[in-house]
Amino acid sequence: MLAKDFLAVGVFIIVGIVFVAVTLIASYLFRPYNPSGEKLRTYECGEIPLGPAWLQFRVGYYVYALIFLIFDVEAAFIFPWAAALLGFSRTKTLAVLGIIDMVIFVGVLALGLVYAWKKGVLEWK
Amino acid sequence: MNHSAYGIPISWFLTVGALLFCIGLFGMMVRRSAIGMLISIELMLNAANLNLVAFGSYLRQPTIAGQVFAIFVITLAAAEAAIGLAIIINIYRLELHIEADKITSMKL
Amino acid sequence: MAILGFEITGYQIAFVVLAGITLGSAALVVLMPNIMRAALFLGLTLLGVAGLYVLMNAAFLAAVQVMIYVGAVTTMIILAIFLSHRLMQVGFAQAIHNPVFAFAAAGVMFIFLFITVANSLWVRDICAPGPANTDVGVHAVANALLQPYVFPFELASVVLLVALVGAVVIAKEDRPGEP
Repeated sequence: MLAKDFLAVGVFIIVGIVFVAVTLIASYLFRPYNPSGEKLRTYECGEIPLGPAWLQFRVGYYVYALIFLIFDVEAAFIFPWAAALLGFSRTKTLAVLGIIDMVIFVGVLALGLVYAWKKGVLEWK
Repeated sequence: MNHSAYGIPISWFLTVGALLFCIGLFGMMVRRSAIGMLISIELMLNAANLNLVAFGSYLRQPTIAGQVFAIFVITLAAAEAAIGLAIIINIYRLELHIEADKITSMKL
Repeated sequence: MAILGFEITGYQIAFVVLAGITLGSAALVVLMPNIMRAALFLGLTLLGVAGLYVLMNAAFLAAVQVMIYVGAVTTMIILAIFLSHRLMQVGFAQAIHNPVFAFAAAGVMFIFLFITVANSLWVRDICAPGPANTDVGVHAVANALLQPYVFPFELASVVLLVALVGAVVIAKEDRPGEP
C-alpha cells in the first residue's frame, strides 16, 4: 500500500480524537460538579479499594509478557511469509524451501516455549 | 522504478531522525533509573531505523534492504528489552532500587 | 494547495504533523519525572514513527512497528515499571540528572548531524526527490527474508530463543509467593 491509501486511516484518527474530545468537553460543560470523598474514590466494581493502584506487582507476570513479546515478534515474521507463500508455489523448490525455512524458525522458538514450560514459569500459582 | 513527488526531500526525514537520536541521547544522560535509560535507547534505535528506511526508500535504485534491516533491528530491540528488563527486575529484587549510579550488586 | 504563496502538498502537512507528534512526545519521554507517563509517551512516539514509515511507502514496516514496538515492547516496559517502582511520584530533580550539560552535549551532537545532513553532496547525488513509488509491501519483504536474507532470518529465531531462555532464567521467581 502507498501512503495515499492511508488517507482513510488519517481521517479515522482525526474523527476519533474529535469525537472523544467533543464528548468529554460536552460532559464537562453540562455535568453538575459537587465531589465528596465517596465519589472520588477509585471505582472497583463496588468493592472498597485497598491501597493505591500504583504498587508493586508479582514478578510472575513478567514471564507471561516476555513470552508474548517473543511470539509477537515471531508473528511479525510469519505474516509476510504466509502472505507470500502462494506466490512461491509457482516454483516447487521455492515453496518447499520456504516451508523448510519457516519450520526451522518456528521449531527453534518452540524450543524456548518448551523450556519455559518445563521450568514451570507458565504455571499460575 | 519511479519515485513519487511528495514534496518531502530525504533531508527532512534525516533531520527528524537526527533530532530523535539526540533526544534519546539526552534522555540517556539525564535519566537515573535504568528503565528510563532503556526507554531512551529505544528512542535512539527508532532514529536509526528511520534513517535506514529513508535511505532504502529514497535511493535512486530503491531497495527493500532498508526495511528488512529495520525489521531485524526491531527484533533485536525486542530481545534487548526482554533481557534488559529482566536484569533490571532482578537488580530491583536484590537492591530495592534501580538507580544506575548506585547499583553495586554486579561488582565481584 | 497554496498557503501564503507557498505550494504545500498534503504529504508535507502529514509529515509536519507526524514529526511534531514524534518529536514532541519524545521530548516528553525524556523530561517526564514520572517514569510511567514517560513510558506512555514512548508509545505515542513509536506511533508517530510508524506514521513516518507510512509516508515513506513502508506500510508493512509500520504495521510491524505498531505490533511489536507499540503493542509489545511498550507493554513490557510498563510491566517492568509496575514490578520495579514502588514510588511513582518523584520530583523533577530526583528523576532528571544534570539536564543543562546533557542538553549542551546532545545539542552539539545534533548540530554536527544537521550539518552533515544539510551539506553532504552524496545524499543529493544518490537520493531521489521522493520515496520509491512502488508497492514495496508484504511480498517484497517476504521475498527478501526468504532469499537473500534467509540466514539472518534463521539467526533471528536463535536470538529470540536465547533472549527467551535468558530472560526466563533471570526473572524466574525463586520462591513462590515472594515478590
